[in-house]
Amino acid sequence: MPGENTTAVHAITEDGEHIVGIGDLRVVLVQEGNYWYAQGLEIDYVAQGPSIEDAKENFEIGLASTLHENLQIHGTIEPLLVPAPVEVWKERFDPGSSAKRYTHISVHRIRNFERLDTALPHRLPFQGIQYLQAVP
Amino acid sequence: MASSGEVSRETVLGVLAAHGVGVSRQEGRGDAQSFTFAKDGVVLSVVLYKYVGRRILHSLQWKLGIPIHHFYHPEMAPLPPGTAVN
Repeated sequence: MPGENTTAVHAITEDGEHIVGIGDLRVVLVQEGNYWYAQGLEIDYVAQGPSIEDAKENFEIGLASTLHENLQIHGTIEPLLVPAPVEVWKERFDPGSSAKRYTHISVHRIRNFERLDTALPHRLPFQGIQYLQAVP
Repeated sequence: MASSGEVSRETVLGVLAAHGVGVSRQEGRGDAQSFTFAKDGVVLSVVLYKYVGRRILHSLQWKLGIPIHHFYHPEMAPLPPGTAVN
């Protein structure tokens, strides 16, 4: 079942730091023309690069930056929890592509988090963690 | 246009600007340049090279609502905000 093991976790510490974890995100790697592409399945994010390693690195950098910007503006990663289009899922079974699993954990200091204070947890790790499952 | 539906980075940036997308340019590494795009509450950070591939264009279409054919025919894109019409 697609995405059954993929998890997205967002927690806010008492200090106002946002902790984000994404586990077992599947990423399809495929070459087109002069570039390689890394396309997330459970999270619709794509990056390109002249080599497979560049594509993977740009995927990690770009997704982390996008997470940070969304936390900064919306205070949540929920807008990103959208699966890739059906055509991309079909490519997973293309013999010319391969899939890797990607896990990401990051800590984000948000400059303006006053409006998030009401959501601050009393303690971690259990009470304040918001589990968001990417459902295709 | 390069092979496999690739479009120059400058064309892509011009079309995004014409559609009112906010563009922030960050540090670069060689041919690669990091950008953050924002429109209507959607925020997307991505590394772009000299040429931008079809998959990235589809993503910009899907996330920011830019018709993909505008990237291939930028003359069809609306005039950038503030452009005088003769």
